[in-house]
Amino acid sequence: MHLPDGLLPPSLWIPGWGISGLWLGLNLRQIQHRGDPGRDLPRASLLTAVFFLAGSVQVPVPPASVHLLLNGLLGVLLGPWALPAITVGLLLQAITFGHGGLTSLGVNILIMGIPALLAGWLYRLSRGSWLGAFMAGAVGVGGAVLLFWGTVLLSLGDNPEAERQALLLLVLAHSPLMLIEGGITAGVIGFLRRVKPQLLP
Amino acid sequence: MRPGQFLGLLTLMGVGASLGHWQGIALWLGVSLSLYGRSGLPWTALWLRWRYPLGLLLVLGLLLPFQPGETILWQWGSLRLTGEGVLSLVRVGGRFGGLVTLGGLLLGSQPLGQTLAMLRHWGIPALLLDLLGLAYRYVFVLHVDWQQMQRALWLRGGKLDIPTLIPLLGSLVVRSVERSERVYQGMRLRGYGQPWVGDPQIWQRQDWLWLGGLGGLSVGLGILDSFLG
Repeated sequence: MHLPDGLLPPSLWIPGWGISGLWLGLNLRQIQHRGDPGRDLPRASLLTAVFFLAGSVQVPVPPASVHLLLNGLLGVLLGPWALPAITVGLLLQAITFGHGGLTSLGVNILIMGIPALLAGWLYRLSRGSWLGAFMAGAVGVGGAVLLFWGTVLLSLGDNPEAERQALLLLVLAHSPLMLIEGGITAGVIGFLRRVKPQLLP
Repeated sequence: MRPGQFLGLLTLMGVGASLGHWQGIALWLGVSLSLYGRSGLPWTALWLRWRYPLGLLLVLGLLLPFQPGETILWQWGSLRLTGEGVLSLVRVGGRFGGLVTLGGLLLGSQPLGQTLAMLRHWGIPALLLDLLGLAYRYVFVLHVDWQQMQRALWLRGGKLDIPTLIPLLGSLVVRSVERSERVYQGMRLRGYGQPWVGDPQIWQRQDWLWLGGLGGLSVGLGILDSFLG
């Protein structure tokens, strides 16, 4: 779900860098103003590493296998640190195995970051219910799919009606992944509630 | 890598990602590949970077040549291979190839720590760079933990599927958070939070030469591309 280098025209990747850079700057300022940011830094770093690893694991879902995104879970667990964590995770993926890209990094941050923030907000709104956790996982993937294919179609085509239909079809095709990721997010949050509830917001 | 080379390569990447004509993109791709060749980095490392995004490009390779256009090269029923579509594929593929090559050169020429020191010196927020450095360090540590957990699962006769993934992932999150408390104590003991006194490579005259050379090349390619229109 990461756009590679070379696909996007400058009219998309330059504003992508601008918007995500501004958002990230404001986000880091917010973190700095919360007190001792060094206190939360190791936790955010290790959870970033966990999500980076979990995202590279192939989960068998017959007849194929899928890679997890887990941006919804990241949004729930990391709160304001979710955006810097996603930025670092995407940069690491681009650096280590060329998944994503450097010019497309800004757009990829928005594709993964906006749904993650929405997922965290949904979870808190549901007061930590099972349904809220499920929705957080599903919205994380669903939002990323919508933004990813929306950007791809925007960069390639000039037929709005065909683009709208293709987008609808692609989102429907990814709906099983939304259910899987929703279930996994709800499962992991349920596990944490039993084992270490202080980790949850 | 010198700071001037780093900035020059970033400029070349930015200009290359903005080129619109296939001739300009082909020339820029050639420049990128020759710079990579001259760096002495192994070509196998470049292939590893190319391999991952190739899946998406193959999908585009199947779709782009058949996009609507006036120059029909081949037709079978309603399926039309168009000249515009093929050129569009060449443009996307060329830009992808050049950017991945330059990205490999930019990030593969020096250890990550040096790149982070350089970026810190240029004013990139320290919090973000610390997060990147720590996450990079712990990816390898947690990868070993993850492999041990998977091995333990297999030895108990289990296999990785969704029901087993949930407790496995949950355990890894709990372990990581517990480890992070110890990491924080260690960071404080080593003086984290004190003003940073590191001194990355200082900008010298040769950096202006590198930046001028690579920047001039980038500007030249940009001008050539605008004339091709």
